[in-house]
Amino acid sequence: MPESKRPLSVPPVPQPNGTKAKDVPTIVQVSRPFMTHAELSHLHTLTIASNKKTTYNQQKHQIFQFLFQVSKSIKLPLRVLSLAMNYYQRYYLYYVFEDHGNNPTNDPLVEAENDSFLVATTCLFLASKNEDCIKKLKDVQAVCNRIRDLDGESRNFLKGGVSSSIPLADFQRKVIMNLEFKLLQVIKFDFTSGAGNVPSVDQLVVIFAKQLKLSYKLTFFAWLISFDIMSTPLLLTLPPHCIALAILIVTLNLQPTDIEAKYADEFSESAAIGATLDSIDSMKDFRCPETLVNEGIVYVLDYYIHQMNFLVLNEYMPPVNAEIGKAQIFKFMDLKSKFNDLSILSEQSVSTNALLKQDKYLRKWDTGVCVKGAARFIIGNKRRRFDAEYAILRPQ
Amino acid sequence: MDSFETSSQFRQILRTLLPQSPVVLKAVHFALRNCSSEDYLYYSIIDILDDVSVELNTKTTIFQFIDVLIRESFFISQQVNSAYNYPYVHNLKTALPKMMEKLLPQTNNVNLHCIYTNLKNISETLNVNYSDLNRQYKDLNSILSAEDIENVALNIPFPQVSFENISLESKDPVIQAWEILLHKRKESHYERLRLLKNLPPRDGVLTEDDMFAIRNPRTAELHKKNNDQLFTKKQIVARMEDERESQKRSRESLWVVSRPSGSSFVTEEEFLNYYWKRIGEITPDQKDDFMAALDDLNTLAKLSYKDNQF
Repeated sequence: MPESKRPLSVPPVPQPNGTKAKDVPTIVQVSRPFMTHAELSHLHTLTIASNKKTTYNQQKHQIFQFLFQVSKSIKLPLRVLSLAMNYYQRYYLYYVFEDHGNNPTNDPLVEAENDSFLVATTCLFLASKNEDCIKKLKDVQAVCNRIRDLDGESRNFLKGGVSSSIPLADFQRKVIMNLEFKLLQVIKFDFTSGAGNVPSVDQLVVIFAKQLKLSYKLTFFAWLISFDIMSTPLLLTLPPHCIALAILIVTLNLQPTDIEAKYADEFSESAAIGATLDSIDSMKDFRCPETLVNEGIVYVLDYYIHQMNFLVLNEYMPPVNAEIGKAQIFKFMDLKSKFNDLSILSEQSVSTNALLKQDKYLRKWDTGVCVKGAARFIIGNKRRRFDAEYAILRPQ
Repeated sequence: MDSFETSSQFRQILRTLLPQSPVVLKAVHFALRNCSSEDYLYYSIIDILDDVSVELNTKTTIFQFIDVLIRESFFISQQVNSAYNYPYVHNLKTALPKMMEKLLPQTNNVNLHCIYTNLKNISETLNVNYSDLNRQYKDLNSILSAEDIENVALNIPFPQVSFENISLESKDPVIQAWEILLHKRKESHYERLRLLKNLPPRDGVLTEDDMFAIRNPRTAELHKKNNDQLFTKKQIVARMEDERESQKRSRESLWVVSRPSGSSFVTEEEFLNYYWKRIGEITPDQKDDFMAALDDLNTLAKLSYKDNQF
């Protein structure tokens, strides 16, 4: 890829005469919706202390359950939930998890930004706006607090003694507004969420399945996988259409017959199981680059091999597969062994720690840089418009 | 609370009615709770609509209230063992044509669309066949006669007819209300065509104050005397806010997902109702757009990775 097109961050450049160059931002931030696993784990080592890794993962699980309950209560569609979980993971790529040291004045407002439930609330709020399912923050807060069992009494949340007693909701609102601004910076104000006009994974799976004329049961199976996958970092790695196709290929390979579907009988299943695997042309029919689909297949299989017992798909399958007489997980393991030599995402540019450290994009985000118009946020494919500016900043 | 007290409280509610649905619903429930005083409360509604000092915006909201009241009245009366016997329905239905007169003042057609929406709902609840009238309302091409079009060209104002003189063909008050509405619709379309044809377009910059200055200060006094309700800037802005609010609410019905209670994870019902039944195969004419969107996404992904992945 040519150097000029690669998304990267530009460090502040000293301005010798300071007159003309003053008007241009000193930092250009390009939205990178998809990153490789190496990049993600490198960022995590910077933001999640090694002794907090378990806490982070346990809490993430709890938080996603919480977000699901809230979405259910407000009746939000799954695409909002999916985006909120995506935001939540992105937030902790760039901001330190449980950052208690960074608050010298002991300001309760800053301290509260460490409350991951409030981070999650913010993510859901922004996601609902982005997906055009707008709810008032007041309503979102009310539901969140009910599910968390928090009462809304006025207390001294702010600094400054007895007189500053304010209701919980008002205090939370201040925190959420601050968090929203922080979140917007790390998603680089990219409201396409890396998907543009493309539907979310849960919808794409069904759209593709209909195109392949899959049966009700198989489509339901694939949809359940898409729900499980929605909460993984895979959405930060691959575009949704490739994930959807990967899920369908896994489904077609497994040919699950024992999924428990109550309503399957209402739809007469045609004798043919639908499209066969050989007929799928991933690039021509679905515009999915093969490497990315392969990456998806491997990830999905690995995920089930390691987590099957905790996932929703498990609720809809009998514990033992009648066909092979073993636990369901063995079907995934069998399939995985067949896919061992797939070519997956290349991580050449980030293969060593030194290379990772060189990239200034992969650093903790400092909220100080974007005050006073010092940063410009752009979406990768729109950057050509700013090439002139870029040239000023980086004289060849 | 005696009937007198109830009705004065009710008037207060109506005077301060806001178009937010919880507010309207609260007022409706108040009316239904006190339906033993229907004779008083019904006249309160009519009086307020007659009252010159009540803003047209509020009157529009009151019509929205009437819409909901009729619907709720039907709903509670049809419950098993209901103690209610369709309160307000008969009275309000009979008064519909008269209300039209108050809600759609002469020379002012701002309310047309709101009233149309509510009247459609009311007709639906009362099970009146209005499809033909609805079609006429929608069909702008046939609403004006050849003679009308000639008059537009000659810049002749639409003939002002008072409501008593509109020849009503039907005996049914709902249909009568529709006929009045159609008459106003015709007037509105006629006047718009006349404006487009005969008034030169304005060039240059228009300040916000100019834009809102639809009430000419010189003739304002005169208008007041004629009971002509033109909106002020403040009222127009308030109306825009209200409509934005109701627009947002109506959009909710597009995305709301009802999930069965009890389950702590996704259910087959959600899959069945919101995915399997709703999503169809991509049709050939959607296909190009869909593929283009996927291509865009690929470009975005390609730029997002540092290595050349595909």
